[in-house]
Amino acid sequence: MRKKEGEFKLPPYILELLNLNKSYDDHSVIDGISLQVGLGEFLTLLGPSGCGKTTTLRLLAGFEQPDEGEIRMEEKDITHLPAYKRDVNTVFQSYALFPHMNVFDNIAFGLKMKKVLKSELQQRVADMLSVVQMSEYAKRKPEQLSGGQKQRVAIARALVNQPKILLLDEPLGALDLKLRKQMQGELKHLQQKLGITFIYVTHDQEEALTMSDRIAAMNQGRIEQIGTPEEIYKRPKSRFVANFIGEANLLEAHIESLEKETMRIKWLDYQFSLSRYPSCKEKSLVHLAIRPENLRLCPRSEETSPLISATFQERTYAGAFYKTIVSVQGTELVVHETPEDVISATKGDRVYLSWSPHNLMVVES
Amino acid sequence: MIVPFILWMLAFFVVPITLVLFVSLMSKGIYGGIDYTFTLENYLRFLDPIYLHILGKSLFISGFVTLLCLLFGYPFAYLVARSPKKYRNLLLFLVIIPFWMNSLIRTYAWIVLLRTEGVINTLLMQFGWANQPLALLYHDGAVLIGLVYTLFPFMVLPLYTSIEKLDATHLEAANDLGASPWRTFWNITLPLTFPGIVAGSLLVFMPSLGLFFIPDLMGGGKAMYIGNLIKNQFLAARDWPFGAAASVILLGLTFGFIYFYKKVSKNRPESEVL
Repeated sequence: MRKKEGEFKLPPYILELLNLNKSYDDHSVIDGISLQVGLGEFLTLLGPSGCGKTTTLRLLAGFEQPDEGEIRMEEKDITHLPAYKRDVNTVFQSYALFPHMNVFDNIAFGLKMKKVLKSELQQRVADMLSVVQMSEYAKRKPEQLSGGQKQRVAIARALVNQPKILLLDEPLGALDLKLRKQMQGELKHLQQKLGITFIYVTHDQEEALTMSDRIAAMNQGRIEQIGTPEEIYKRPKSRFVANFIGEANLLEAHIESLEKETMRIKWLDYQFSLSRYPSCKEKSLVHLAIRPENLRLCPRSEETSPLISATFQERTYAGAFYKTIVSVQGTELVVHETPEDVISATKGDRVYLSWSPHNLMVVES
Repeated sequence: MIVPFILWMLAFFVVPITLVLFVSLMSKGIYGGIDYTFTLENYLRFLDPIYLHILGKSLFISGFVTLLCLLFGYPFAYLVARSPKKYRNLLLFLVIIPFWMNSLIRTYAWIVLLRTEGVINTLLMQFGWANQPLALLYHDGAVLIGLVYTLFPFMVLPLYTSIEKLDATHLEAANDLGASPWRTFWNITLPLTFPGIVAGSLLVFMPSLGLFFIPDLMGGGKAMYIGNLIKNQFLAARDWPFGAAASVILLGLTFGFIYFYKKVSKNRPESEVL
């Protein structure tokens, strides 16, 4: 169950990042990141390794200081506030549970540091243990727990402090696929139940799409696009976003002519018309993207939508669909065929490609 | 595989210790030899206040040496372990360099520095900071300096090992949960490096009980410790059975401390150092 767009209020923002920059040894890791996070929002920073998502999170936690820029939380500048004075908590990728303390003491650590009264502390830790279903394991040491159990303790240890913002650094990265799926659901429910703002770092696009209210797609220290999962998936702005989130065929085409609301586009020998995008220029190069599941194959020319003749290359089974590769004048395209629509063809056969024009996405180069 | 090990242990461990134990239960011969009649006299003799005082003083000064090594060694090891990787090996190398020289020679070097007409006193007088030479040598204080100097690396190395493998994310996690740097040190760093502290302390404490040549040279023969006592029984007094009994008592203490360490580190199998 995803919240509808606009359900969390933007503004007021709980957190604002203003033009953050950070480099190590002249190598820029974060290059001008600005971002607003709404109260109670589940925001995911998504990108490949080295894109600066973890560094961004570390700046928010206060483990590192930006070279430039400002971090504002509830309209107060916290850029140079040390980590232990910030009202945020972190769930670490490696869990970072204290090995010399049992589960109870790990969870109680933050409350002890805040000098919470013993009776209240015990109540809150016990409540948290039951929220993450770890009550029977209170006396265990971290080394006696499985990966999933450690994960729950790490989450409980952070949440028991009732932070305004919870930072999660690839928290499910070390778990196997099945457990990861289960924990994704649990985390999302927990976030909705507690209403805490989550900032979640992952390189797993599927995880980002299923859990987030909004996704910030990051590449080379910048945010390339920020939007709801639907926006990011259906209207990727750049080639990087189109390719990183979901699979996409990228086509290099030319704008032949501009009309009032449409433009004529030529790709290889084929021409079609698309609605204009803001900065389009006549005779210029344009990159188009189309998802493999939006391409259809047919054996003969029988449809009316754009039809392109292609050569069948190969087909591999991928469970819910077949992944088929065809080539159009030397350019390879990936098509996902559903089992009921699969056509019979072998390598070298002539087949026809079709798509609905609205699925063709114009992306920035 | 097991046979060479057994032979090794027999030749270098079981036989010598059995010999010492055997001699400690024999009587002293009139001319310094061993009279092969069984007695517990040697152990009873050790209960004499004179010897108990020597043992007590030895334990005290060894404890004090250990404490000083820990107080200087911990910040030192911490700085080395937390320094940039490219300097770390160099710094460790500097700690280890003195090992390449015989410790007896290094002790003589200290004597050159500390004696009445030594380097330090000459400089102090030269600059007018002292009117007459200071008594820097030949007392318990000098023995303390010698022991701390000689055993310092044995404290630093295990401490370095345990601080170096301390996971920085644990410290970040503590910080993240509201612990100030000071509380992070007390609640996380110190407990997690505790096995290193115990290992270093044992490696300093146990040898400092037996290092006889430092009290001999730097204490000027006036300062009697358990190590000198044993040495004197064998070489000067020619009372082997009593020396052997004192050795057995020292050995017993040592095993006691190791047992204590094993008990302490049993709860932390992830950080065994010794």
